[in-house]
Amino acid sequence: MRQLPWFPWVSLAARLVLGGVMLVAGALKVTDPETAAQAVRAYELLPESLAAPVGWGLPFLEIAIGLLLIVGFGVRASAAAAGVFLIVFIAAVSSAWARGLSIDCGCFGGGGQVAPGQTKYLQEILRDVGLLLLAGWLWLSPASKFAVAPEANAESQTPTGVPAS
Amino acid sequence: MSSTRTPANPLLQPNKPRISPGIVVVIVLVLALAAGVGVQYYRGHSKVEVSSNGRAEPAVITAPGASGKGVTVGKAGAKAHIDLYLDFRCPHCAEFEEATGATVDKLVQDGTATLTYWPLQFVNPDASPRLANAFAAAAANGKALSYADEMYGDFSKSWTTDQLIELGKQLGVGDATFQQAVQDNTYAGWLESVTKAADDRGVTGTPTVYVNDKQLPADQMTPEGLQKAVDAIAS
Repeated sequence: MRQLPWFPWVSLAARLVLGGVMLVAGALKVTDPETAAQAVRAYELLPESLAAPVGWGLPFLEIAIGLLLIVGFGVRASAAAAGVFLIVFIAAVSSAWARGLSIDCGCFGGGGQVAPGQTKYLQEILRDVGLLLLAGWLWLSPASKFAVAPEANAESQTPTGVPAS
Repeated sequence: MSSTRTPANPLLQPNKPRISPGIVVVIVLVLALAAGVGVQYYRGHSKVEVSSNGRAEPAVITAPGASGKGVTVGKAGAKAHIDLYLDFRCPHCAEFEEATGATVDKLVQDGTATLTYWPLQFVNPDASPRLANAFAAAAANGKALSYADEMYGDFSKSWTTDQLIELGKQLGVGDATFQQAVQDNTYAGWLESVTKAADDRGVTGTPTVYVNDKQLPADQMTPEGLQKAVDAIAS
């Protein structure tokens, strides 16, 4: 990808938006682990022994990734981790939609059953796809303004990004 | 949130290219998970503090144990009867309790309504039955309302068996019988009969409220809505 002078500014914006959303989403859930676990259970995808730990642990990971992106450290790897999460979220919401469940995604706290007319699957998926595009941009173009650990772009760097999963 | 400080570490050593940022990111994520485990441990071991010891305790009219019957509190002869189907691990129930608790307390206190608890146990299969059983054990000792309020009041606590027993002690019902009942899940059979009664009535979720056998619509699940439904009967 040819680098243009304004790319680092776009990367900065992408970092702040993606990181900000991850941070807020994590922070809103981290204080209410029972509700977060219930939101995971509502997807009916994981057995109980996994649903609760996922509900409790996910917010912490979201906060960590959000902070890494906002301060600009390990942007490429953090964007990869965020991307993995977003793909999982999109798959989970799509599957809930396809199975005809009536749940809130619980992305920003809350979650669980909602009235059949109250689902917002399309908005939730579009939002996550938009964020996934930002993550993809950062993977390709992690060099950005005001990062604590300036990072070179993909070509000049051996692939060190470890996609945390 | 100890994880908040971790990303600042590289500031201290800005020029160490040998450690790739990817590895550091992984380490940060592992630390974040460790923080999560720490919080989880804390939730299961934090101290039980009774928040509202001074509040009036309505008398228990129907004690737990009668098959297919909930726990009823209040003054016998009240015109209105509120049936509350709840799960002690259901977030919406905690919100409902927070919003309407004072209204319900008052109606029960002044003898306008009786309140029947129907503790269900489906929300968190690992925890709901434990909390419901402990509630029953406390209700058998006359402390239904306080015990329920305290569990909802500290909703983010794990409410392990130890914490449930400690709560019983602090409410003055934590004798050996109570401890035995909590540990042995004594009320499991009764709780199943309550679940069955709820199914038979067509209760599909929690919280569900009936006022004199009429279900409170979802948009009326507020202090005002409840008050209005009770007023319609009591007047």
